[in-house]
Amino acid sequence: MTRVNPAPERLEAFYEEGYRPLVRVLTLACGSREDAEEVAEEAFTRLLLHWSRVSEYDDPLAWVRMVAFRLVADRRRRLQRLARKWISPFNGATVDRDGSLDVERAVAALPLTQRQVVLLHYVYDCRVEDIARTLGVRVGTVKSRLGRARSALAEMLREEVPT
Amino acid sequence: MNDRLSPELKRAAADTTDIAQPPLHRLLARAESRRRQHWPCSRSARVQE
Repeated sequence: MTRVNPAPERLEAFYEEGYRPLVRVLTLACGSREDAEEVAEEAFTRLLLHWSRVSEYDDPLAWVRMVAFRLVADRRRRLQRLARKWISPFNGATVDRDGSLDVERAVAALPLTQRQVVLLHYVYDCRVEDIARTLGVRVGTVKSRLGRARSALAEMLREEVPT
Repeated sequence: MNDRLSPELKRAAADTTDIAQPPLHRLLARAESRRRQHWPCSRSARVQE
């Protein structure tokens, strides 16, 4: 492995800027703050290990995000293998008295693959090409997941499906 | 719906007041430990603060 020699002030700035927002979004993705913190710590640990290379990128935090979202997917796959059936803690999301869900809970009720694309698209303003690169899937897959997520959200939020 | 989703999710994502951030040196120690496990013979490759 090449020498890892992070410039402390720049690294600290990235860490300060990126850690908490990443945990927050990962909590929406994972459904668990504890899992989100573990994933965020692991993603930033990998940033430290690869800092000499990643620090040259235009947006090192985008790299951290990619690692984190892939870790979330890996964890889910591991759980699926162990339990055969993964049950989202949000599957039992309750509906408000007026019959609607708020946006955050509606997103949390989506399957993980749809949750990921929604968060990357609507929180980070990622283009479908960037989301595909981040998640390691095809552009068409991202579009399809985004379309299904929008339909599901529109139904949950009792709104029109955008055309 | 797009008009509603993005601002509401961004607002939710920005609310980080209750999230505790572990000190950077803890992650540096973890990274260094990981490096030693994977590259025990590499004396020059160190994660430095």
